[in-house]
Amino acid sequence: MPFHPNMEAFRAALGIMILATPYMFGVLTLFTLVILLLSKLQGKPAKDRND
Amino acid sequence: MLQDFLANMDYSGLIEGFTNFSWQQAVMLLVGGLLIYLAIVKEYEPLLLAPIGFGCILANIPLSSAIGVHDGMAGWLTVLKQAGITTELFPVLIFIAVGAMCDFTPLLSMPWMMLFGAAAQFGIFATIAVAALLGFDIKEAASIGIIGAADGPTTIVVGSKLAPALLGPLTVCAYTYMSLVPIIQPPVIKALTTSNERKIRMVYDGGRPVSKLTKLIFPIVVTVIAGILVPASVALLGALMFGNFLREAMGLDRLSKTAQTEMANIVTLLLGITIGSTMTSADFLNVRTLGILGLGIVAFVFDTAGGVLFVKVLNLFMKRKINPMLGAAGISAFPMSARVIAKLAQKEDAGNYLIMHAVGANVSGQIASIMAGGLILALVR
Repeated sequence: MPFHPNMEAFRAALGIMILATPYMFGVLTLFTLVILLLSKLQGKPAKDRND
Repeated sequence: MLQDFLANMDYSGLIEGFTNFSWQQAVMLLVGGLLIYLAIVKEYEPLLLAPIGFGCILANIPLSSAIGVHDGMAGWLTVLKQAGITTELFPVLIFIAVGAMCDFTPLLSMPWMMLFGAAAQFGIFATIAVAALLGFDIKEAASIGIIGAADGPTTIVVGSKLAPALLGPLTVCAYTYMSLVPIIQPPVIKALTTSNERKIRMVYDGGRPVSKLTKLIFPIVVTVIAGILVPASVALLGALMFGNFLREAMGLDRLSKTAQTEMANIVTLLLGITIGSTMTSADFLNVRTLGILGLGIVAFVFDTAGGVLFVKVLNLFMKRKINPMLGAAGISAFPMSARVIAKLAQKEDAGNYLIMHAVGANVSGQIASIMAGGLILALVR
């Protein structure tokens, strides 16, 4: 029933937060490193596009 | 002769609309009208809220032939729901369009902005916990938390998989609050920052130069990495990145323009009216919907707070301080949130131009919100 604490779900929610937050930061940090790596690629600077 | 015909005629077909009309349906017709009012008069996300409002009206007319199955034939909105929502087709197509519209250059030139997107997803996880404390089971709580992604398609995908019965309120909540970002975010930001912090200037010198090749490879690399690390996110992230690839690849201008215009408009129209059709009185008018509406705001508030506080913590270690308002731009509501932050900065200091940094954080929020959705789908089964 809504509005009665669901402690089992709450524990699961905490578990998700503890797992997902660092994992997401890790993946996005990896993306940051990938962008830094990609920025080493030679090529013509991109022109601004206003599609 | 005529008298016999009239006497023997079955009139029930003419009055069954009245006899089956309930007060709940009347309330939902008003809700549909309110959404149309917000869309047309107040201009809150008009392209989405107007079709949603009309779909809501269609779904709540007694014995509506637009939804459900009548004489063995599914109503057209039910057909659209099965074809576009259950299969995730509409959200995926929307993301192709969004990707084609999205310029990742500010993010590529300031890659550290990527972390702001991660921080501003805090509201998702905090809201899942709050929803559980209010009694929702973990699948429902996760679907409610994803409203904090500030990202309609991700909300639809997660909601349709974990809590299909809540899809109507979840989606309406997500899109309505996205349009209310200018009202929700400023008070939270002001409560958590000082005037001096909001006045911190960020110099945009163009960041790192971004080559055409980088912009072309970025969507492919992100798709592959995300696909391996968070497989559940690949449908949406892959679609977003495919759209962006169309934008950046030479010779695909026609496809890019089609994705940005005709396709975006058609799918938005179909998605909106189909979502509206899920707002039947039976599914919408209950205490749980009120709970979802309240928790949606909680999610946006926690997102904003998470982003701002993350930057404030970073500033403890940084020589060159970052304007903490930029953390709040890490939500996925694009470009609404970036505009709000840029405006707030200029309100404090007319010469403070944060728009490029805010856009960088905002597009990172788009990637981060999909990652968060994928993680939830991977962890909640």
